[in-house]
Amino acid sequence: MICPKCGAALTSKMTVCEKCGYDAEIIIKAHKAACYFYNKGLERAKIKDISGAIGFLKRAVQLDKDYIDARNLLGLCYLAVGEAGDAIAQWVYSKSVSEHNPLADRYLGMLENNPVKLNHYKTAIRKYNAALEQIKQGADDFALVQLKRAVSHNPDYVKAWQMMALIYIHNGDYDRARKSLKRSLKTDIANAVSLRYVKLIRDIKFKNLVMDVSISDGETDQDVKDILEGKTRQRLTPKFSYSEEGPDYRVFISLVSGILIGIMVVYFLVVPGVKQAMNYDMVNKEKQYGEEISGYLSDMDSLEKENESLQSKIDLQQMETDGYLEQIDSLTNKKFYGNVLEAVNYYYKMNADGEGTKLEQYLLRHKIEAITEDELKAGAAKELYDMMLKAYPDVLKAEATGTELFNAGKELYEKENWQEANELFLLSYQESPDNEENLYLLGRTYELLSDGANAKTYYQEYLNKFPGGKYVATVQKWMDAAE
Amino acid sequence: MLNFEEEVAKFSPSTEIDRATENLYDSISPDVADILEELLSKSDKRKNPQGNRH
Repeated sequence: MICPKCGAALTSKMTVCEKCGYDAEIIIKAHKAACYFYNKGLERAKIKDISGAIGFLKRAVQLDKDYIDARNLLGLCYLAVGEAGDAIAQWVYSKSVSEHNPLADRYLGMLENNPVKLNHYKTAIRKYNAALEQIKQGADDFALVQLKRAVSHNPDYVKAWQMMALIYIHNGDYDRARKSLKRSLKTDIANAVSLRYVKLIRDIKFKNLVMDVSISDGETDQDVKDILEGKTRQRLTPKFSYSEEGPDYRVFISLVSGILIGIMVVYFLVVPGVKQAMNYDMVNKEKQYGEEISGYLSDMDSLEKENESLQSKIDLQQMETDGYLEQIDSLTNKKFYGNVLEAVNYYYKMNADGEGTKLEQYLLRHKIEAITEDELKAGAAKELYDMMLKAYPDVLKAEATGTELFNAGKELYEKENWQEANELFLLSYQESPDNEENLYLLGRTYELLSDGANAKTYYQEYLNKFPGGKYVATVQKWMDAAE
Repeated sequence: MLNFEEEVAKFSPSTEIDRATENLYDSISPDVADILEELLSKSDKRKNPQGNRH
């Protein structure tokens, strides 16, 4: 505060100017009142009653226009409700009052250093002003579009929300109006305009309810008029058709009837169709199966016929086989020991393992050479003999060394095939009679085949030929036991 | 009930940011000190043509 006469600084404790003596009481009281309004404004601002705060702060700066704190706070309140232009004006003036004004510097810097935010404020204000022009020209829809854009740039723009609510109320869209007002009250909780519109919507909705006022028996229209004019204390008995919502049985009934109708539709319309489709399907499948079955039956007939012809062939072959068997029987019955039979058996066994090896052919040769001329005369022996020679033309020239025979025999001996091993040891003995081990194993295989006589013969020969041999003790032991 | 036009008339345009400081000092209304200063200056003029607050 400064003295209006001399310009000296005044404090709130003074009543007169100390420099010129001017009675400064009025100025000081004005300043005190300004402080009071500033405090009130601050209180309101703290509880987000921005419009209330603005009202008090405006009065504070009216009383003391150089009240820096009030101007700074007023600028903040303007910014809070989206009035950025007014906010900047307050801070700029506040700065002009006092160079040392850190708060004003900070608030102005806040906007200058954030150009994006500043642009949003600018655009929002521009859209709002454009909407105001359009609404005055009757273009409510365009104005609504502009206002929506304004609040998208600055969601705290209270006036834009209020104008949107006004347009919605005018168009009868009370729900949207209420939402817009709710949003504006979020920023400025006690804004008088917003609250007034909210009450208006509530009143409109209440009046839209149907109200019947019934007059009790005995009351006339004049009585009603008197009551309404307050000439009598008698009361009208209003009967409200609007009442608290109770359970709505109609919904339940319509639900149940809907379900029943649905069931009936399904039963009478859908099920027969499905059944018909299933029947048709079944008939088709029966026809298909019938065709398949007849096909199978004809296949069976042809297979049976084929079976019959095959059976007759089998019978014929069986007869031929029987013929051969008879001949074979004849051979065995004659008890030739079956040299032919033995050779033929060995021949088939050779061929069962593939083509006979050199050693096997050598063995076959021995078996063939064992067949006598008399044996060849019997039955199919000659044919079988010719068959073997035809299969192995060089069989009678087959050769094998004593060692080869011995090794093959030993292999069979180790597999406990005593009979075949014995044959090979015998053939090997004929080729190499001085093979000690061969002579011993020949006797051993006879022993294992329970041919004691041959075993003794070859064991004795072993003892004679090899008195210091490897198997002397074993052979001697057997010889002693055999005696 | 609502009078749409009346309500619209109550809405005033917002100050554009670019024009925030235009006529700033003219828009600031005089306070008590200004009024007293004016009264004093008028009184001084009657008594003395030279009179200055600052």
